[in-house]
Amino acid sequence: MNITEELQSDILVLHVGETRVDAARAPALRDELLRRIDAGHSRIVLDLSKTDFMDSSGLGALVSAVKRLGSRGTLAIVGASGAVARLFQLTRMDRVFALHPSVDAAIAQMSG
Amino acid sequence: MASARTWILDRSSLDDIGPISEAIRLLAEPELGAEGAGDIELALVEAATNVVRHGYGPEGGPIRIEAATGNHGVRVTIFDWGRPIPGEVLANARLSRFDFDPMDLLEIPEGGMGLSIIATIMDEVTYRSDQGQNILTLLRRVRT
Repeated sequence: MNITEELQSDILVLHVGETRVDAARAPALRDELLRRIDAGHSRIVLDLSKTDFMDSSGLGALVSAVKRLGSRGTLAIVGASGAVARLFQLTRMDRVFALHPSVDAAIAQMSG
Repeated sequence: MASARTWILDRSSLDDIGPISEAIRLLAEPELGAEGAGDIELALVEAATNVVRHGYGPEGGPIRIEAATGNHGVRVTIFDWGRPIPGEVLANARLSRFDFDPMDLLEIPEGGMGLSIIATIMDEVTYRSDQGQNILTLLRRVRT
């Protein structure tokens, strides 16, 4: 799982470098997110702008992270577009995850 | 113009699914447009993933995928010879998994969404299990 990261104050930004997040790749994303949460990160921005395709396995990885965070944390999504945005809409997971057009927009909302 | 393609996998694995689904999306795009083609790609990925994950064991098994376009739209048929989808699971597929309360973490589904996604985005879905062969048909019509 190709992921690069940066920290903006206490917000962990993870840039996913995969064009597809499917059943073959979702477990690695899930592990990566849970590892970060268990290490103490409670505010995470996941940048999916390079991802053109995601399926329910990928979504499940994100849901696992949200459940591990519980009520004390936030997982925001950046760059969901095209088929990825459609997946969030048709599963109504856009009610669970804040979807932002950019990392800056996500950080602004989380800091405000 | 109508076209058709068939893929046959001997020992299917999750890594086989992506390239086939992308090829189907490209095949479907002239007929269905970008969103429709993306939907059929997603439906195929969900269905094939279920076969690999639940239909067969770790040693995998054969899958045949047919995609056909025509004036009606695009039809994708998946044949497998593994464990059939249990009747109870099929019956629940049309019940929406997506009416969960987003504020209740326990209610948000982590898995088992594939069939509901397929049912939502395809116009017709049929499943038949007969003498060890399972056939799932997905149809997405051209929308006028």
